[in-house]
Amino acid sequence: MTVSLRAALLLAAAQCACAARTALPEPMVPLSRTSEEAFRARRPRARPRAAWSPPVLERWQSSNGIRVLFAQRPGSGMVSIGYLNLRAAYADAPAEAGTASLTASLLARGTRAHPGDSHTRALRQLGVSLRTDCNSDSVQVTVSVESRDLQRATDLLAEAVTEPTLGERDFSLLLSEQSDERQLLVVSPSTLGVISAVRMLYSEQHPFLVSPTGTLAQINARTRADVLRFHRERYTPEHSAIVVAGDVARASVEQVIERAFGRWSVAPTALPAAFVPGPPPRMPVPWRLYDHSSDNAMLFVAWRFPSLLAADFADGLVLDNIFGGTLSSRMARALRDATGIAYSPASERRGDGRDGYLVAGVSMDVTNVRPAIELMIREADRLRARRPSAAEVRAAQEYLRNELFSRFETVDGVRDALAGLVVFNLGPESWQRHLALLDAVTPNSVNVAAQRYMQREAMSLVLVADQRRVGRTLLELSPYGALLEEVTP
Amino acid sequence: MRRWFWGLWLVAASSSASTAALAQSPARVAPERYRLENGLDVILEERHDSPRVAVLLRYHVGARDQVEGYTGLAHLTEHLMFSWSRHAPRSMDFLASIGAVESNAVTTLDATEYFEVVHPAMLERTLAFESDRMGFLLDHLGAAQLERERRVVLRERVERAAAWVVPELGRAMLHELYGPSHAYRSMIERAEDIQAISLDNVRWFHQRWYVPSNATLVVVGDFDRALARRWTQRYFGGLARVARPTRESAQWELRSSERRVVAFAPVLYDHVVMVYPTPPLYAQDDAELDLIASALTGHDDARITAALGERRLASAVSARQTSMQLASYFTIRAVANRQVTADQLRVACDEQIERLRTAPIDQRELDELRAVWLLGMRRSNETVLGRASNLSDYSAWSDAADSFDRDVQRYVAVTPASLRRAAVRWLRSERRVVGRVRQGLTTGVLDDSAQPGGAL
Repeated sequence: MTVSLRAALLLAAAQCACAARTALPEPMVPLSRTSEEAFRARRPRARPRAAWSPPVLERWQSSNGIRVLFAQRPGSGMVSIGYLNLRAAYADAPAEAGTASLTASLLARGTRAHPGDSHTRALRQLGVSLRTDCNSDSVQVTVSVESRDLQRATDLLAEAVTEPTLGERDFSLLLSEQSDERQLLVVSPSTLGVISAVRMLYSEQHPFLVSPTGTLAQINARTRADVLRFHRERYTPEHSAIVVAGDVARASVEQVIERAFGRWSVAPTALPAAFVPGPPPRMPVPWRLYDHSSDNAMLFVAWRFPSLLAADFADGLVLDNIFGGTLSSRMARALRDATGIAYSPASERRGDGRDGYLVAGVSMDVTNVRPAIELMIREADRLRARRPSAAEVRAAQEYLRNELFSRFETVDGVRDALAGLVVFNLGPESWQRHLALLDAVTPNSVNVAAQRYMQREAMSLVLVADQRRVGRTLLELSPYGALLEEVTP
Repeated sequence: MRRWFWGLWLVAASSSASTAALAQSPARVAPERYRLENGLDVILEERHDSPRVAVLLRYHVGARDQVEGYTGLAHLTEHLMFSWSRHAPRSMDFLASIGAVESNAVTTLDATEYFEVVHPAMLERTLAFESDRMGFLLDHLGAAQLERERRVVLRERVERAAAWVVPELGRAMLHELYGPSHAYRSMIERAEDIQAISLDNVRWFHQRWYVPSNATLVVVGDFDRALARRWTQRYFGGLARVARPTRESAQWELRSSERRVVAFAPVLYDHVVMVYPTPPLYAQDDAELDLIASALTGHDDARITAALGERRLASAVSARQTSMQLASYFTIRAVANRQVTADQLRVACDEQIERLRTAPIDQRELDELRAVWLLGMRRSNETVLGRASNLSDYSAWSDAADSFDRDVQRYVAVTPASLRRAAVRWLRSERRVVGRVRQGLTTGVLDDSAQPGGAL
């Protein structure tokens, strides 16, 4: 028996086994069994709002010059501590992107005092593990523990940062892991689509074009010596900061940090200049098709968007919220509510202090590619052509305010907020300023932002779909037929 | 581990934080639980550390309550709850207008939950809205909404099913896990069932299950308890009292021989999934199986993770106890590396399962696993929504307002001996279903039970 025939028989049997279907009872009439109450017709008023108070920030320097930011959060019983390095991010050394990522990842794999897995085991005794994140503007190594374990956790964090083993065996293992992960990423349509849509927006040398974990060629060319040198040159007190948030007093934090990091001393090394943005992006941005044999298709579009520090950042946030940022966004209404084409169309604004972008994605049946592209473009066109309603803007502002409050709900969230101040060199007033900027957004400013950022020729479009079934559609829809790129990953 | 998300087949972060620790906080007040005259179960917990309030309404109805041939009815009804009701605008519009964040709904086998986080100024509006879609949804529900949401649910089914790589593999594996008479026998939605659901089916389902006596309202956050009590009574108290519906009980029939299923799909590398039937949430051995899952794949040097990693057999591996009210299942999944077969993965995983017996978890390993687990429980209570979700879960377990400490005690009581006992009792190959995904040009599933050597 052939595989396909046996498969068909098994599936048919499975379906038959479930096919018995008895009629359900009829619903009762009237459909609603509660009698009318007059008060229900009147919508309750919103209650008065109390002013929001952000965490109180304290700053100082350790004896060896490490900047420290602290915010107390009483009552949680938890504390979160983060080490930041501002010169070891992958975009700080684009040519060494792989080295930056490898070095950060290796920090959590053993120290001189705790070699091998004894470091992770010591952390596990506290119920935690170190998290390392090497992004475009900083490296962060974080841990969150019960307040009583702050000293022990900070000691282990300091060991990882200042005296990592960076061992040969761990280095080789990490290279293998990253290579394996990379192979999985390449076959993930969503990963492929998002990365590709964003990369198409930028010219060479832009930090967002640098692969966070390095290209395969970069990684394969790296040696343990590269990692050791990178760590020696860039992991120094002068490039470091520590952020702490939690249920602990400032005096304790000072003492803990001094004991863990105070003796750390590294002679400064002259480093190449930090990142300089490259030339402007190519325009118009091409559309791209990745051939993927499936009944499903994934569509991604992206635009450059304001950076976190741009004057019109809040306008961009509201614009994203209205376009695709929530379940009630225009994209969701068009692609989900009105047509049922998609389950979860969504957009998200990302970026850092230097640049930003908006990426929107939708998964659909391959037969719906044409209406999906048309509807996404239509919604972007509408935002450029006309101001959104005042109610839409108000709702977006309310949502974004609540989202801001949510970032201060956990010790991790507060710690991340402190890290943002360090990375972007901001003061605590920036949190309230963010709210003020949000309140100042108007339908007109959103429309201006849409006209500035969501231009058709500045939009990248990536489709991951069966080329035989959608190729012609894409060519017909693309305003730049000659620029269409077909790629087989 | 609780919270089995229908169609998603994965589990959200577990449970809660120490009640004792919460009680120490001046910003937080211990929760209160009471019932309205119409049977609505209410849990209120004040905490004033952030201007946020989570509102979660749990209906004690899930996919297990669907009648044979109507898989997807619970999920479709959940979607239709986001339509208009008599006094409220369309839910999405309402939630957007008040700036609700983290708003969504999930249908599991055991329950359906609706939740949102709002500014305290919007709490009364939110309670009025939730009461309206409980009491007055059906007045405005029409064929157009049904057809629209049917399309969305079918689309969601396709997207969620990707977790199994081949959707039919999940159906074939889970369908017989507990035997044909168990309430969980039809875990996976069938497209043809969803297509056949009528508006009257939805109306009947809503009338039967979406009643005050079958629901628990949980409010956690920055609000005044006296006001919240008044609003709860005002908006929910007048809804008609209806007797709480009864639910089907479980009839277990565990397998006596291993079942193997092979799926073909255009994947780059082989996958293997092994599923074992395990005891219900909160039953003996449930906590042990949570910790065993952590011991196997919970960290970089966990037993299976390390064994597969050292030999470069897999690019991804996970183990998980998915705990539910009537029964649970324990899953081990792995994605092979290049030139590694699913059978090699299965053998390597089996070696580690066997080691749970021959080289059992000792006290030191247990202490580490437990420390990580308990801190995770505690951290899940940090957010108002996480806390509301935990209180909702506990509401189905006990009549207490909060059962966190009782839950913690389950893990505190675990010993190396009880871990070994749980592994021997539940992780038995003759009871499991093994699924393998092999490379193929077209998608298909077939029964491979007759070929235990895995010739396919």
